[in-house]
Amino acid sequence: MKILTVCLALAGALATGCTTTQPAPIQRAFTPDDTLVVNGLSCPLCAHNIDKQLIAIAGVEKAQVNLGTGEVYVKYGEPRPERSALVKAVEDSGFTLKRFK
Amino acid sequence: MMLRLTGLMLGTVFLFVVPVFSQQPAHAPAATMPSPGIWTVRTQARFHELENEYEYVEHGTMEVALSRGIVRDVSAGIQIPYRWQDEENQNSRDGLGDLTATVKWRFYKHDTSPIDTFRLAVLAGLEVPTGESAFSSDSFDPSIGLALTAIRGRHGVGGAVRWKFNTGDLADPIVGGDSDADAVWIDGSYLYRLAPAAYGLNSKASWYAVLETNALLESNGDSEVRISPGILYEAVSWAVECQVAWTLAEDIDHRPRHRFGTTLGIRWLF
Repeated sequence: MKILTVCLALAGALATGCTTTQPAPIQRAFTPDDTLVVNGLSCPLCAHNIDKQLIAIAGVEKAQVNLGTGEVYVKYGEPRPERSALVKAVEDSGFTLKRFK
Repeated sequence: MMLRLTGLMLGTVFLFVVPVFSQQPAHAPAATMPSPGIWTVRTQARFHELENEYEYVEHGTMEVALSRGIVRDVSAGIQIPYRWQDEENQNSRDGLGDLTATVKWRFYKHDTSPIDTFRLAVLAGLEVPTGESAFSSDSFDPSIGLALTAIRGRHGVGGAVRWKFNTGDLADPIVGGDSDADAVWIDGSYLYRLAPAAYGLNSKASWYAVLETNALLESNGDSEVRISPGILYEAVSWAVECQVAWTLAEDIDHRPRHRFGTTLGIRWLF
């Protein structure tokens, strides 16, 4: 019974955060040099695989995912990477690249 | 007792320093995996109240599961359980359970929109004895399985079938799969995204309501079906889960019967 009480208390505490608030205004963290359109992102945690794979490419400075549209914004540094490296990163992450925008 | 305390402390440290993965219920595998070079760490504390003919039994497991993407669509992992048990009229016991090494291969993927996907994966595992305690079977037990994950908008559906070929057993089996009988788990799950209603650029987290069913059939004739509602919170690089479990139906003769269970978990993606 103690376990049930603790669990219900935890679930209640977690559930208090389940409010459907209006989404904040869309704001990109940077002006992208390239935009990829990707399918199958599923959830924020899943999509984090793309950030990590893209940032690991030499020449990719920043990456940001828009789960609503499937767009992945990429900012390049030097040297500017080949697009084929980005394609491989997206496919390695377990998602489907539809096109570059 | 010292061992148990040390194990609990280590488990607690892992629980809070390390954390649930990608729209996945607490008790069943999913057809998701980390990408190559990425680690996920999943720590779960599972408590079960059991009963046999004479007494109540409390059984707990603190499990750390590490998984790493090896190449595209293939990951490998290991599960390290620390188990303990208290019986009303006997001494308590605790110790390291058998380790399970697993390989997962996602052989089918169909992504139809920014969020929607359908994935299938096969699983292969080997339970390796630690010989450390009453919770080690001293046997190598292979397993195979199939998992599916389907996500459409706010709805997620999961399913899995796992078959464990037991070649040995615990002296005193406690939960399903502990005896020398082969065990088959049939899992189903439904996850509903409570918030946000729609994703946007600034979406950094999701709340899900979870409903999971787990059926276990053993070749010695034992069988049970459990239902587990719960809640899951996923952020960008970590997640927490909380589910409770009740038994819907059971026919158990070779181990204590399950009354109630709780699972708390946390997952990290590195």
